[in-house]
Amino acid sequence: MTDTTIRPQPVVRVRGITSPRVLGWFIGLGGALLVFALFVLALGNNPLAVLQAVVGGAFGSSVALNRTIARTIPLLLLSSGLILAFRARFWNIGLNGSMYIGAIAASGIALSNPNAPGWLIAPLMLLAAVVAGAVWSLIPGLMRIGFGAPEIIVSLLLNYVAARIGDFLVFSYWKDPNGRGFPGTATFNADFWLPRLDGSNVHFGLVFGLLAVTAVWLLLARTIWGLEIDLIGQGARAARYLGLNTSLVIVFVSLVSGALAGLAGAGEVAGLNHRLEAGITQDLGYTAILVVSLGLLRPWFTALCAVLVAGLLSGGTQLQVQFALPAAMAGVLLWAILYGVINGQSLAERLQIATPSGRALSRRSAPGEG
Amino acid sequence: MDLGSLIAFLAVLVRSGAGLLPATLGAIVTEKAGVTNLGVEGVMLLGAMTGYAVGYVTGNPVLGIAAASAAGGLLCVSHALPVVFGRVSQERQFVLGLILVFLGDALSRLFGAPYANHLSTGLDQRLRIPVLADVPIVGEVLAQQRALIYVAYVLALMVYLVLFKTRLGLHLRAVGEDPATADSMGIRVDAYRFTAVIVGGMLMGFAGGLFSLSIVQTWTDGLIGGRGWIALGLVTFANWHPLWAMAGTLLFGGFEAAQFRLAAVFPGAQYLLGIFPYLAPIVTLPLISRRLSVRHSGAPAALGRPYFREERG
Repeated sequence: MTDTTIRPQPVVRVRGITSPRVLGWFIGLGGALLVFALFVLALGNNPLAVLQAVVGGAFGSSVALNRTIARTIPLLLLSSGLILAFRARFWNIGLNGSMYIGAIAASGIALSNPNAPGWLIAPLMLLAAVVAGAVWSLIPGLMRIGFGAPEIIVSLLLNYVAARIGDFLVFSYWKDPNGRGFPGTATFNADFWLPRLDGSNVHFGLVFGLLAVTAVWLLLARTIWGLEIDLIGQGARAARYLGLNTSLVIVFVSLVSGALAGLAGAGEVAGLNHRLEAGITQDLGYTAILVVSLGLLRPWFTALCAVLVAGLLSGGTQLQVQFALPAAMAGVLLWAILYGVINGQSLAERLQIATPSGRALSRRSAPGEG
Repeated sequence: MDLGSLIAFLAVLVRSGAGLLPATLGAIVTEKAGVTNLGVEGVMLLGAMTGYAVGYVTGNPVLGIAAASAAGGLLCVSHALPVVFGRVSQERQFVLGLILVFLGDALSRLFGAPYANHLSTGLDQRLRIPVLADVPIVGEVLAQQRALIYVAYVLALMVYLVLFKTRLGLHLRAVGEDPATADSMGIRVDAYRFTAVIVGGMLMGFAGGLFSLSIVQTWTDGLIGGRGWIALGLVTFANWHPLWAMAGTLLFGGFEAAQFRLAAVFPGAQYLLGIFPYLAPIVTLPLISRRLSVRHSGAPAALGRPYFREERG
């Protein structure tokens, strides 16, 4: 931004159903669903039957719920960290890499100490994952601060680096010799597994996920740090005039988002799969971008969106079984919804600007928008 | 390194560079008009799938690459409409670009499923250019290249000429530098920006089609593997100049080629060496930023900023 004047930004936001952000959200969602329904109709299927199958495949049975919760847990951790980064306008899209590195670090601890006591190793796995994920995510942060390198490209490319390191390990040095050629490590010692509710995918990572959402909500709503993050998100220039340390905030948000992503990775290997496999992240680090944008960067709403998106992804597998529709359909629908929501919000804002009652709204987006 | 492996190395370098070049050019055209489009990866993916599918079905690589470019341009309409005519904020341009990445990825998986994992060599034929082919080393390097590889380098020259040597290019750059002034000169800002995004998207789609048709000669899910992001990084490296982009893509083609030369050094080496093409841009980006701070930057002044006529000063 090279503006010479600082425009006053409204700190108090319009709330409620008539605010352009919420209104646009529903306009966009409705529009995307409508287009999708027409698309399904064109392919010769009944949209209502497809909807029913998706909801049933997401929440309709214990199997479905288990599938959904397995994706919800990492998404809660990933998205709560990403909220902070995006609020500070630090475009960290490298969470997939941090998650991978976290999973690798946790697996490394488990595999190198197979006979150590579980009370020591299990926490150590989580700690290693948190540290590794944070350090990994700090790289784009430091490169942005030190050299002005665009974090969006650096963090994204690091995802591929992390995935290659993971592939290297599961295909060669850490490969289970008894795995019949399957690219994965041996199953960890059962003492290292995270506690898990019997017969379900609900593991201890859910507690961390809910704690993370709560902590991020408290940070943003109740502390000066949260306010600083939002102010820096409004513009580096304004933040400089206020004497805020932008670099420190960037370091903070990249560390926290990476640490939580690392924890999400550890949850996958320690809580769910009990070993490291190729493609362990299921690209959930990218899905988290969708979740926080749909969730308008608000912690609890984002958590709700995490559940819904996880449900849509697991319900999407049902489309393949029941209607022989490709599994990629769910992905198309999800990103189309976000496309609709972003444009719905822009549209609603522009309409609001045109009316006198909306004068307080700046044309530039308020903090916390995707 | 003996002469034979040097020629093999250079041939891979030229080929890998060509896979990145049109995408970088597309991003340059888009950004020179003052619009950001982070969706390069997704546009390339859709282009690669469409190009391969059409080439595979018709057996005609020209139809394939045309379809790839058209698919890229079409996908970018969904970016151009809100960004140019909707005048969304810079942040939303970012998010819309990211959406394009994943929408392109999902669409290519959706429609590409029937064509995935077939290998069809020889769709794009090797091309022998009479005089050049007789030059000692250069001729041998070029003898291994397919027709579309040449087109990629010709495109760089064309984009350079149009951007810097024609009135059209001058207007486009004016729109990216100072849309208000351009507007008062009678240049239609929106029309230029819209066209730039679409043409940029066609170039990105072309790059995808070139990759699937000429380089790997197959389609698999996620085929592009981050090359769209490398291309985006190269825009800064090239200082928004098409000829520097050519130099940059050749350099990064070298990183990819080095990866093949070094493979099979120790078990699993191919996975670890696969890091190289991704790590190289990360390591070089800081150096580039340094370089830009001392030299004149080719970055368009109004990059990413929506233009409101009523705010014209």
